[in-house]
Amino acid sequence: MIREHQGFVFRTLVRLTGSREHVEDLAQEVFLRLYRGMESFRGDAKLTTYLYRITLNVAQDEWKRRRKEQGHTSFDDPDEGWDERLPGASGDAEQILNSKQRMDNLGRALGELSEVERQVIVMFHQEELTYEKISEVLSLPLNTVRTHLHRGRKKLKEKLQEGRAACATMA
Amino acid sequence: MRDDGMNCKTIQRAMRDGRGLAEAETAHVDECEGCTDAWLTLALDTKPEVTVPENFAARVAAMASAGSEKRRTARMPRHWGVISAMAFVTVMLVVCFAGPKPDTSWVSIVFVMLVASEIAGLALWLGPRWLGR
Repeated sequence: MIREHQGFVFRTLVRLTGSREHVEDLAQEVFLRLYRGMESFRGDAKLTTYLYRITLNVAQDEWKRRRKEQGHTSFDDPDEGWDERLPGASGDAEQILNSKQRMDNLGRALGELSEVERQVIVMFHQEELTYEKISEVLSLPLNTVRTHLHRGRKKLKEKLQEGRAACATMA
Repeated sequence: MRDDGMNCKTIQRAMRDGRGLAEAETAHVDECEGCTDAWLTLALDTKPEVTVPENFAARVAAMASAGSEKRRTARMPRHWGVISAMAFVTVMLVVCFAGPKPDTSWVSIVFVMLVASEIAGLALWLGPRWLGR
């Protein structure tokens, strides 16, 4: 079970917390909570749904903890390797830099969304969960999930445009 | 499609294929609603690459089983404590009702019931406290 879902847990934690720092500890916490919860698990939901919920809760706790600790939370990922797999990433140095900058902006914009919008976007796009599954995990009506996704994407686009406008002004 | 001589379909295909965009194409993506949308979808669909340590699953499984064993052991005294309190209450009730009744009245029955439930309540309340939970 751990081997099967560890990829999902690690990826979701990285995207939702915006950092690779402590991700292993957080993933460990997710699976330990799952084990503890399994003793009282009534089987009224699928185990994967339960695991997704725990992952989101752990990410949320970490997000809050860091915000309290630092006064703000940065979504900059110091690790390398993102930009190489991103749309339009291959090419000359300038193109790569441009692409990396765009992704940094996207990461920052994601960090400025509300918790639920970020969760819906990550589950829908990155983990390819259906609306129904997201609605089950977050205990939200289907239409609310759709609204959060639509609103989140709209906000992301606006924030990216704002960021570009700011860059153009500085240049 | 914007009127800048660029073909949105070509640009979006290039993005999907992971080909680098020329400066003019990048500028187009920034301005074109459809291309921005396509870029955003591709960027969000991209899974961050994560490295899971090889022994992660085994380590977590070991920690989980150690933890559950510890919890099981800790729960035992409470379990037996509650059972013995219940047994005591039952014996007391049997003795009170089955034994000789020189002056049984409804007041004494209510009194005995009250004492028995207080003992049971205290056992349930104090059991976990003594175990530090």
